[in-house]
Amino acid sequence: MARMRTHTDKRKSTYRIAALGLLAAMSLGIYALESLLPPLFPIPGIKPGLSNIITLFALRRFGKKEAGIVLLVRILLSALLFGNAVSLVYSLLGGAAALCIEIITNAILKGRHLYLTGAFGGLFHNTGQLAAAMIIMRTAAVLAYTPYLAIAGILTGLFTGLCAHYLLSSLRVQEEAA
Amino acid sequence: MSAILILTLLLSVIFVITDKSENDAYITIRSCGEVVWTGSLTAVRDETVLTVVPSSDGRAKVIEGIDTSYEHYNVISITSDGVSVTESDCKNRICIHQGLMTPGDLPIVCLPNKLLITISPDEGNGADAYTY
Repeated sequence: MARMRTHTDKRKSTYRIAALGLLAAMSLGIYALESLLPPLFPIPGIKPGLSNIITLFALRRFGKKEAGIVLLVRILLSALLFGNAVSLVYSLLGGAAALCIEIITNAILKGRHLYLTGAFGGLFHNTGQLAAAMIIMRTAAVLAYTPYLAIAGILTGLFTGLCAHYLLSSLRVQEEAA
Repeated sequence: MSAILILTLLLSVIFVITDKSENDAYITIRSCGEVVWTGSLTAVRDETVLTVVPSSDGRAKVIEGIDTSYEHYNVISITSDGVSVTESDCKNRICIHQGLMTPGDLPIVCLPNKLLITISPDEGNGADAYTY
């Protein structure tokens, strides 16, 4: 019995490592593709934030620790590949704020209404980035953008949350059919 | 939970709609967190063109006219109508797409070059009042 359990544990952890690596790679790919899109609005900081779909998926499917790992890997690799030290500060503060609120919201909602979790994530991502901008620019004048970034964060977060919701439910249907 | 979101959304929309104040304008150009140029919009007669070069060691430079020989630069045009960024080496060009900024508009931001241009009603008021 003991040997069998370690065997399945090993298989589970191998699956986990492979799945998290895949998610991190997908998240990085989405981030890279998104950065090629021209900005839709002439307001800095507004972007679809599609890699949040992967973060939300990892959070629901695996848990908060795993979502944190996927997010951190994506942020570090994207700063290394396409960014610099300054963009790393923006990504880290935005990502950390978003993940923290997503973990809290997801716990309060007990995993239901993932679009709300996404919307809170988007809102707090932009709040974190505003804080980063205040630190880097050393002025509070950037706060003039707060309402615009709040609206954009909530709407893009709703969208990515819905994407993650449909991704999870269609996967569940496929797994039940298999 | 959704009530919080709807409230934030509504408040933001109200701010966006009501955020218009027409006044004399005091222009402040910041690069890398430091004020590098200030001036009043009403004092501008002809078009003033400045090139702002950011610097990592906190010694940002302001050059009169256009000088694009640096690695990073923003060319700023100031007329009696307002302020705009006409050239930049940054990737997304959001600062250029923001167009002409007139008094009461949002500040122009170029995040990659750490540039921020604000027009406040007068010195020490508006956005500048809660700086530092």
